[in-house]
Amino acid sequence: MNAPERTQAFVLDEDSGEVKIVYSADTKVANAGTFRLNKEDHTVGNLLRMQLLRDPNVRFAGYYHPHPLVYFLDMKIQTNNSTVAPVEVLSSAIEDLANETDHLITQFQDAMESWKRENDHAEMATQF
Amino acid sequence: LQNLMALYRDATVHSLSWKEATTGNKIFSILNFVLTGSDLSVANTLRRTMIAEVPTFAIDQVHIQENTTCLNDEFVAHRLGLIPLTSDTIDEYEYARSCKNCTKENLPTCSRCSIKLELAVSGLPDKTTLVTASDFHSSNPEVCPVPNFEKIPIVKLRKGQELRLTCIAIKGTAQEHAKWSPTCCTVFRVEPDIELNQTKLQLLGNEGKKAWVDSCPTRVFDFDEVSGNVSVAKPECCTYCDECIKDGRMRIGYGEGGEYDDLVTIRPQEGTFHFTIEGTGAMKPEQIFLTAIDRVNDKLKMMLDCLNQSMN
Repeated sequence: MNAPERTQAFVLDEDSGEVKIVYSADTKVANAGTFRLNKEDHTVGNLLRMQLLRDPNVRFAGYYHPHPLVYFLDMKIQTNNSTVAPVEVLSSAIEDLANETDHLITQFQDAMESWKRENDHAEMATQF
Repeated sequence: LQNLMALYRDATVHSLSWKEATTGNKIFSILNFVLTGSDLSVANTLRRTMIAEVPTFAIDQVHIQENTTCLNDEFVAHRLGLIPLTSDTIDEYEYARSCKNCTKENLPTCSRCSIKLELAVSGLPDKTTLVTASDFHSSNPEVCPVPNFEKIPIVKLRKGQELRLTCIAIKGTAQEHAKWSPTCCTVFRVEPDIELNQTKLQLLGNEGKKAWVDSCPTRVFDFDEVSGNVSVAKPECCTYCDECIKDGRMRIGYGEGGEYDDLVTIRPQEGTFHFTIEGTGAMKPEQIFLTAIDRVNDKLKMMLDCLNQSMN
């Protein structure tokens, strides 16, 4: 009766206007803002945070998942100067990660091809 | 955006090898490979995605026509949900919640989003009947209980007991329920850099060296009786338990000036991760990995679109 729907943890509720990322600029700190990532968890949060920390334009980057039953992340980003906005830094981090994962796909497929060329065991041939 | 330099890493994947889960059954459901040049967060994201966000098929609804067995309805239904179904063709199917053919009512029925599996077994008159996953009839022969695990017992029947039911299997992810997880055990390991301090090792006698080598629970080190040498035999077995360091300190004592001058230094190698993916047989392990990377990619691209939209 009180149980929430199981898919609520990871499916965006578009009917009530939920968007993936909501940005709110920080009123007290310069060049900073908070991104609320809806229906996300540590899988993506930690990945983005570690990538942001590699960027020399970022002064502060951190995220938290307030409670396991609450399905969003808050990511706080502060940049070094006002020429670079937190939004730009986040989108470049996401782009770099997307490039890295694309590269990983080709790498893995190449590794599989080279394994197939090197090994002609009859038993493994049925696997592919 | 011109002043932001590209910060991507050139990660490589190499040293693939497949293993059978049970020796001799010819089903290579364990994949080992090495990911180099990447970061711990990427490896962890891939691991989490492989476990929780790769979609597979699993029985979700059970319509029971007759159940006179010793297990009650929900017990049997729970067991049925956990049976792994072959999900190689999962990409051709849609999620039942977003299927256009099916209404919003309780029954996903169309062939685009669901598979019907039927089971009808009666107890034999002379002996105990074991109802197994192989007794299922599937509406689509591509999706059926995994060949390796078709002997999974569901329930045992006596003479006069009967089990008749219809199941509907749908696409889902382990984020919703663990029955949809395609993996048994997916882990990654960081290989250590082990350096032995040979000068200090010589302070121990042969007895001491042998006892020190024995202190490692996973036998990483090897002591050669003939030459009296201690060497690192299997660094991949190291679990960073530090037993060797503690044992060494007990034998040699601490170093001078408060700094530890240990018999061995163990440091994890940065950026190199040894993955082991074991699938349930629902999909091949390489398919699990590729689907996981695709899922991460999709998530990242969706977030990028959302950001670009809000910027404009």
